Amino acid sequence: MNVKRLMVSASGEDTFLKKLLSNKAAIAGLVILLSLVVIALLASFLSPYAPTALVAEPYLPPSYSHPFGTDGLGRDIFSQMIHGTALSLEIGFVSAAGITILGTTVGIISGYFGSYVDEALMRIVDVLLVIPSIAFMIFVAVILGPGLESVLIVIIVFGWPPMARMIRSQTLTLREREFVESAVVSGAPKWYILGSMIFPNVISLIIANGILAVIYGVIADASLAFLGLASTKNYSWGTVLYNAQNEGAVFHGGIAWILAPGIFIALTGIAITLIARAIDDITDPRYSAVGR
Amino acid sequence: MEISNLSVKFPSLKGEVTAVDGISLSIDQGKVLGLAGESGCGKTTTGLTLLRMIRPPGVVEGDIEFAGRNLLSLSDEELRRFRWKEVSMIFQGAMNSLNPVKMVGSQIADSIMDHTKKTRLEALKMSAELIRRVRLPPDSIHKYPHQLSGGQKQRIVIAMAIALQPKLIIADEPTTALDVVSQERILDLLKDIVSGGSSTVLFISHDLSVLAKMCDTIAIMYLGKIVEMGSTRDVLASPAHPYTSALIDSNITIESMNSTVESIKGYPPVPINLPTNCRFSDRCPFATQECFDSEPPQVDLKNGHVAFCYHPRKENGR
Amino acid sequence: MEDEALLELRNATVTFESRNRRINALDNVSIRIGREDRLAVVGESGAGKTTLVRCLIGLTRPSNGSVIFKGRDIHRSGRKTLKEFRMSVQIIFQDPYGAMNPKHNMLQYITMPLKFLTGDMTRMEMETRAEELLGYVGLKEDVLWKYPHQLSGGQKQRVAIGRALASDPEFIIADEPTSMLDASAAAGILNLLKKLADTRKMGYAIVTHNMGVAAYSSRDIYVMYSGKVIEQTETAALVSSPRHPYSKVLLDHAPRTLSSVFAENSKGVNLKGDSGEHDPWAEKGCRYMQLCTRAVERCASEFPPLAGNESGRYACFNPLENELKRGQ
Repeated sequence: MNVKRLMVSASGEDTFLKKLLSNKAAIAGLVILLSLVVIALLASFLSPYAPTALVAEPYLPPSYSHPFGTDGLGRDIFSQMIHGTALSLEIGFVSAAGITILGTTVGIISGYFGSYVDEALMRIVDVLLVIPSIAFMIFVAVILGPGLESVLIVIIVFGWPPMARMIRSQTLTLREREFVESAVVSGAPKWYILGSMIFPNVISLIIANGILAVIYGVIADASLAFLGLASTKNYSWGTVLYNAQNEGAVFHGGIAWILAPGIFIALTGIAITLIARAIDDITDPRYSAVGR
Repeated sequence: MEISNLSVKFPSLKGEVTAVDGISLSIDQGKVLGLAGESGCGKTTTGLTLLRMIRPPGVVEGDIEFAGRNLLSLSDEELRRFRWKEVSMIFQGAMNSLNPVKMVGSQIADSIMDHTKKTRLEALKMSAELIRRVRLPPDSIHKYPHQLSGGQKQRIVIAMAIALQPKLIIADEPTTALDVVSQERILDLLKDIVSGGSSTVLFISHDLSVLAKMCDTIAIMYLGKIVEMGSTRDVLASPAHPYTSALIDSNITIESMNSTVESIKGYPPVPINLPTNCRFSDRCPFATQECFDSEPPQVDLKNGHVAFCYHPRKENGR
Repeated sequence: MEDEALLELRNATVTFESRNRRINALDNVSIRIGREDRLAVVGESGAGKTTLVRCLIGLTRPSNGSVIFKGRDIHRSGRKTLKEFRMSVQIIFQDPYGAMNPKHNMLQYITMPLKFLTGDMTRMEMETRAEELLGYVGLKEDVLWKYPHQLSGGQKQRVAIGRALASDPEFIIADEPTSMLDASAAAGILNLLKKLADTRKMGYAIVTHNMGVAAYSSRDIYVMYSGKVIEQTETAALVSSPRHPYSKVLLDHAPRTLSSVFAENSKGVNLKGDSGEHDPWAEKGCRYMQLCTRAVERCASEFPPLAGNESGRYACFNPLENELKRGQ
């Protein structure tokens, strides 16, 4: 009847890392991601120019010496991208970590404990979801001043509620499942049920949302730059994109200027998605069996 | 309906899973064939294959001849017309697949209109007639699924299945999810409906007493193969294959109160890369060396009753 | 009979709110379970069987009434009582697949009670004990490393029994343990439960809709309808002479042997309309009345109390005759 059931697992003994490294998608993702990290670390060696140096005519099209062309002041966009990698990755990952930790914790606690705990936490979520974020961002900018911290705070504060909601609803359905009850009658304490019954079964949802959070972080950074909340002293992919729009890249034929940050953001997204899918597959015991 | 040498395989990392392994069956026009066996024996897969519902990576081989056509070579468009109109299915959880926000009468009408050129009014008239045929009160037509009991919902599903007078009805455990009382009533209803003889029925169930009640002929499946086949009374009253007798003996009934019901020892193996021998050999109390070595022959008993076994039980003991 | 009950449900009522009305899924039910009892609770879906099980195992707290374990109310006693209760009274769920975490293997599943109830065991000891438990339920030890999707329903249900046995319970409650299984696997599970009860001096209660299963596995039986116990007696007495009309209906629809099916086939089909048009949660009167062929005037106005003596009680104003007595 259930054909899937009949497909017995290959072997349960392989370590997680070994499984990850034997997964083609994971390797592709890791290679892209590591390259980006290397670029970020070696930015000063890899970039031909300083990001702020005026090195050529403004609005140059791509060429061998300026692969993405130059901006409105004659600065090399390729170098800006290289230098922006570190900050973008930092913003992306730090905000994703913040969003994931907050969203998961609140979601699981709210969903599992229910009643007034749930009620209170969900009202906070509702409030955050209805506050106009732009207005709040300006407010934070005024209080904290522009800078990396303000950017991260704003991204995290507005980023976690949707995730908390999703995790909560998943937890709600898991809580009613018989395997949770069989843990209860086995005398399992709440921490075990949360950590060992609920959490492993929401982890794929957490990862999926975590990835989106990285990309959300990178993009939110770009929009915050637009509001003047991000620090323009340091380059991120977002600020390059913002500059492109601000200095009329389209009008001056600077397609590569716009494409460059887009491609980098997309590459990051693809890399994390590949890794996340691989992790999801590996942690699901049913999958290790079925050759899809 | 003629199935010959039908196999269904699914690839997996460990090798090919053979869900159905070269079975041949035929059902006469207007008769009811029962397909019995433990879960995982390939009954449901067989039913799904007849509806052409096996999707890649599943591989289907063999021939299914139905009303003069080979089902396995129908185009997608032919297939769409073929389903419901010529073949319909009633499955176990079907009552939960009704649309909760639509009145059941119009759901029946919708499925009629999807497959015929009938107007809405005609279709609604037909659904009223169908509701009468499945013995629900006439006002049921205006009810929503949540206002009906499980048995009543299953009746609606039956009404939809017989709406276009299909030549073949596949019933896969149609009553298993129901309460005992409604279960019996639904079976009575189904029996009444098919006794007209206009539809051929493939009735899939693991419950032998249900099959005994419903079927003209019965085929017992084990691990993708048919092990015994014949008229229901012949097979169930004088089983020849040890697996059939074991299935019959393991049935718990109200009469088994003060005796011990024996279950079949062991579990069916996973059907991956199976050797060619008797599939039941490792669980069979009568197995001899030849059972482990090669595939058993077809043994013909009286009246088309066949068994695939080296040691079939004849009339007077084994 | 007068010794202290192991587990007792006293006048338990569980109320659910549904579509603006309150429904007593369990309505003033009292059940007394002795140490080595073999009980069956029979009823159709909606009879309150699952709610009863959840109450008995402490997963649902009755809105009214109490659950008494060895003289102590489990919802009013401390952690220690609850732990002792969990060790002595265990459960087998209906759906063995649903009762297992898809991400845990059988070792993790079966050792849960060892981790949290019996305590103080090393990993090795737990593994040894888990192998021993698999032995009791007739499985080989390689099952320990399998995940739920790799086992058949019957095998999973055996592992589930293994988990229930881990804390050496005195009593096991099984909620429809066979309804998701094939006939053969079902017989295996019931035989296993009977054997375990014999060898371990353990009692069990099987909750089922199948009168055949109940008759096969129990000595005493409770029949439930719409949240109430409507008949309670020895199983043998109920099978040979049910007093409540509903018990009779359930018996008439119990699975029977193939030969009796063939005999019935020759009689032809007897078609009746479907029931279910009635309201099983009527505020007053007997809830079964609308479907009952023996209803009398009084049934509409008051609910018949569960009355009788030690050997049997039933809730009916117009019961069927006692065939046993008449025969004597």
